[in-house]
Amino acid sequence: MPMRGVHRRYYKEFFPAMLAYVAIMLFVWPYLSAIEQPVLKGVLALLPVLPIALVIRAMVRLVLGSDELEQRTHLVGLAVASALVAVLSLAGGFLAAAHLVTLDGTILLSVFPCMLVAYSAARSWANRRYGVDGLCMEEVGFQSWHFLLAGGVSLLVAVLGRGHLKDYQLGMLTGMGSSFLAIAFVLAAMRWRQSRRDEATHRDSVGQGD
Amino acid sequence: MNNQIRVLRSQLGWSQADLAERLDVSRQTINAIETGKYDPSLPLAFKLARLFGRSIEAIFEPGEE
Repeated sequence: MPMRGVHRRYYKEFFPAMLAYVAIMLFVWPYLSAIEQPVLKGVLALLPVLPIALVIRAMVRLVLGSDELEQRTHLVGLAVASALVAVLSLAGGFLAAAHLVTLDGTILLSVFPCMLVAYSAARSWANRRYGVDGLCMEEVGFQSWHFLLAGGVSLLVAVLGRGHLKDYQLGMLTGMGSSFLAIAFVLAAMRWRQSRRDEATHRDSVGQGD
Repeated sequence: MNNQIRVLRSQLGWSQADLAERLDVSRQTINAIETGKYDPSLPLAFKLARLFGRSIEAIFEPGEE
């Protein structure tokens, strides 16, 4: 199955931006505490926003270039993600205002990842509703072994660099590695379910032919 | 809504991917339309009608209310 142009463009824009983000977070951000000069500190602190802005731009261009059904499932995903993050933010804010929990500003860093997870889950649900098999990542060229490899490499680097890396870097590498392995597992499970469905359909069609 | 797209596509010997490419949509979208899980917009319905050389009414018919 050839990759559609809109997906090809998305991955061309998405991966360099994500790589830049990971590189900044791994190699620049940990040294922020050593910088005293406020302006430089502010610039470096905001540096990861730049690649994430490029990721968001790539996502916007993907949605604009998608066909009408894809746009509808994107919309469902974004609506659910926005609603969920809004409710969680409100709940967290009220609990903090009531002094039942203590939240510091770094909690805001989890907003975007939370939105992405909710968006992916909601879009998968919407896709299933329209009979889309949910193997979009495979259709655009990704196989589970790609994620298995990326996860394995991330975890290997974390293990090998255990004595030299800062806790923050170690945490990021293990987090990335675990996420890649989880995606690989989900893709493999979906592929297995799809092949079982295909086998059942084939058996039915052979049975009808007899 | 019911439709004749699978039949018309098969008559022309096109796969879902072939039709998707001609309409500039994804194969998944064609599958969703063929299985009746998604009703296309009017512009896409006109594109389908033009591609198959038929009227929209000859391709789509209302399903059970």
